[in-house]
Amino acid sequence: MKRHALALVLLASIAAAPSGARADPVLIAGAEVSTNALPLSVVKRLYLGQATFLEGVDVELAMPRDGSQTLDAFLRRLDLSPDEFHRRWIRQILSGRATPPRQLAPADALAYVRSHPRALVVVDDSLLPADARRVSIIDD
Amino acid sequence: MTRRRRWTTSIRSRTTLATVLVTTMLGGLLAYHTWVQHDGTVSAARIGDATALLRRAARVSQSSGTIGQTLRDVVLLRDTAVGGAYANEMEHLRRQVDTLQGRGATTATRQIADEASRLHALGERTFELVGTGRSLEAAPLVKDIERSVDRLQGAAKSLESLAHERLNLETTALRADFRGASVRLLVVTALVIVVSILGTWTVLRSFRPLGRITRVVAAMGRGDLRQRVGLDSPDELGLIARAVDDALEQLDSALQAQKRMAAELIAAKDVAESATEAKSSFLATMSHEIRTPLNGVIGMTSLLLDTRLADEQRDFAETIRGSGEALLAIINDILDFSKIEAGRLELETLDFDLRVLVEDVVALLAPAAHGKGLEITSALHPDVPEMVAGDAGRLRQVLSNLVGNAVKFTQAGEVTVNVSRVRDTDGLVLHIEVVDTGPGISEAAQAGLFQPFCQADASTTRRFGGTGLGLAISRRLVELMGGRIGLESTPGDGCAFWIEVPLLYRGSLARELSAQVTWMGDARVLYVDDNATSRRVVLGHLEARRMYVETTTNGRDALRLLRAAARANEPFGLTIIDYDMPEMSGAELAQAINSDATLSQTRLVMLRTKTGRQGTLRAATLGVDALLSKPLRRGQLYECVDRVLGRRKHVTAEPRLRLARDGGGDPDGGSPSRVLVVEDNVVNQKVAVLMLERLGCRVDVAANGVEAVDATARLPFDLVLMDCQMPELDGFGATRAIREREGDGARLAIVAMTANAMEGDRERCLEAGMDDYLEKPVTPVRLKATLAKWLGASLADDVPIQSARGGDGPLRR
Repeated sequence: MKRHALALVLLASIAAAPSGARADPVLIAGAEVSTNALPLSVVKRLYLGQATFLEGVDVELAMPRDGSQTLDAFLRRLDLSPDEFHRRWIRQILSGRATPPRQLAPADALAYVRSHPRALVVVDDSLLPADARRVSIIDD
Repeated sequence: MTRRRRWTTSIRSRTTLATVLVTTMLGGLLAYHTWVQHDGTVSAARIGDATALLRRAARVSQSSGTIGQTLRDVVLLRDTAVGGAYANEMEHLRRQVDTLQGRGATTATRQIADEASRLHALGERTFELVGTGRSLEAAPLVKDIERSVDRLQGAAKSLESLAHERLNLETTALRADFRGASVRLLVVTALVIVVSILGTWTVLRSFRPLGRITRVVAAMGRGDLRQRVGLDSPDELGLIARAVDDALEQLDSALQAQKRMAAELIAAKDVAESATEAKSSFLATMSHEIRTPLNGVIGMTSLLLDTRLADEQRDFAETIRGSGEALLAIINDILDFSKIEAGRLELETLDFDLRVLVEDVVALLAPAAHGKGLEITSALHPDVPEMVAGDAGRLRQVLSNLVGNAVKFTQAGEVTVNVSRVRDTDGLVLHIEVVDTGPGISEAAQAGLFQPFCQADASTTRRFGGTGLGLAISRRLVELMGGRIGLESTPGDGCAFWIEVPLLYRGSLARELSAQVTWMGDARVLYVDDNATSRRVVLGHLEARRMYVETTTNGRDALRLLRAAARANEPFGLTIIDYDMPEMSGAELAQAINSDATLSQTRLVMLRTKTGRQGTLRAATLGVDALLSKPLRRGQLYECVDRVLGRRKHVTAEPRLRLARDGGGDPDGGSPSRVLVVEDNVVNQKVAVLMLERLGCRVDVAANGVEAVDATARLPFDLVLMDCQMPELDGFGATRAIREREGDGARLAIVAMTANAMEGDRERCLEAGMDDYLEKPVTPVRLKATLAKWLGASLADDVPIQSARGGDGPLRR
């Protein structure tokens, strides 16, 4: 009886682990960025360097570093593969048309937002305090 | 004439100058070569530096390009792993930069160093950003990196240009140097060649006369002494040339003188040869002319001595014969010596029995020795072969001379001839020694003993006579044979003359020895003789036949030994007794043995001499089984022992061969032999006829060759004795006529009978067709021997045999 109970606990742990590790990217914004929700296309355009102003504010974009699950999850949301995202940015950077987003460590994200009022940062939701202001991404 | 020579005229000075010049030029050339080589080395180093700079600039450019591309790949691919080449290339770049900086700071070098640092920093930053996942942040650096790479490559290009420029400068400088060096080298080489040519020309000019000198010397070598160098130059070659010319002059003079002398010598030689020829001819003629009357004197005296003479008459006749024989011996000696001196004596090589020769010589001189009471013996060492080849006649002559001298000068004791073989020589060399117990010869006298006309002292000639030529002739003969002669003597202690002569030996000594060694039975032999040499000789002979022999020196000991042996039942089967012994004579001993019945088993043989009373002894009267004459011949001894011990029928030790006489019958009782004497000299006719008649021949006489040819055509002669020199037709012509007439029919025996004694006479006779040669004066012994040879007649033993040289004794009735 005890053996059957232990197996059930382990199965539950395994099943629960991926859902717990899965990153859940959210956007947080600095004080000058007042919006609380952004359409996905706007977000995509901002993060592909096709737009730099949001509601009149020249936003300072930031995102997780290469290889992080949060970034990968964010890019999937934008319907981009990491490579494609990177290729697009390189083209932009080398042609001098845009400045790429900063790539922050998870621990630095909140500090960056506090220190940069025009910041728009992609972070893992789990790292945010509950009362943090989140900018939701709205499907078009 | 003394010539003053400047230093430039000396070949040595010229050669030295040329050598110094050439050496200096070569030294300069060497220094110049070193200099050019140094410059070349410096230029090469500079070009090497420029090339290295060029290479480094290219490397910087290449490394920076690679670094830029690597960093771009890292950023674009967001993967630091693709930047593997970065570290290496950066290291290369840094090394090149360090090297460049080490070679001195230039603007381009400084730019490269600065830019390399910058690129390094950018690279590090790129790797840091990409490595921390901030590839987008790193992307803007790519631009900086590309600019940095561009600047680096620009600086490298500048450096490359600088290196190119420097390289061009150095190359241009090197080319200029090379052109200059080539020109200088050309000039120096030309100078060297000119100087060398000058030096060589100088030296060759100096030695040019050498060819002329060489040609003249070569001509001199070929015997042409007329050429001259004729060089009038003050240098060394001039001196040599004048010396050669002087030498040629002297040689030419000497040669002319030599030719004159040679011509004179040839003329003198011709004269001398003519004189020698005349001398030889004179000698031959004189020899013939003297021998012919001597033949008559000796022959007729011998015949006279065979007639009834009063004692005084016999004494006179014997004196005449002795004097004639002495004169003949002297003539023979002088003739021999002349022949040897003229080099006309040739030796012949014929096989002969050495033992017989030695025993003959000893037998020949035995009567004289025994007449003086001397013992005379001969002994051949067992290892001496008996059948040898050589000139037996001349060896006999030498040996006769030595033995004759020994007998002549020895007053008491003995004369012994020992023959042995010289060891450690190639071929057969005999050592023949004649030992006597005479007065000996002082050392001073020995010195000139073998010189002609020299005797031990002047009194010798007076006392013993002789020409003093005997030993000189012997020495020359021995030397002609290739041997040597000598003597050992101590005054008062006898004398030993010896000769050593090489002879040919074609047989086997072992075979000879085995033939000699024959078993003679078990009989024991006792030999009684007071003479030790005789005992040694007889003992040697008998022991060689494996007989048991005991010897003793006197009759008493002999009797004791005989009786003791008889008592021991081992009697002596044979006792050989010397007749002439002190105390108890041989006859007394024989009588004592015969009177002792216990000694009846021993046979007796008596040894006696043929001289005096002993010559008349008979075996029967002595009561012995056989008589043997001294000197003992080995063959006679063996034969006698065989017969006495019952192995032969005849007991006569000295076979008495009978000669037909009194009626002219031959030994077998048939008709007498018919002999033709061809002789122009009436006295010699008479001598020959008488001798031949005494030998039982029927004799006819022809006075010359014509008569002889006629007589032989008409009458059946058994033998012709032919004189050679006769009127009308000489012996040679007569013989040729007889032979021509005979053709292939029966051949008549013709024996030359001539006084010609010179070399070649014998050959001339044989060439003419004669069969033999009888030298005058004809002696009974030689005549008998010749008859025996050609008619088969035998010799009578009572005809004493004497020296052919010394003249034979008369025929005795």
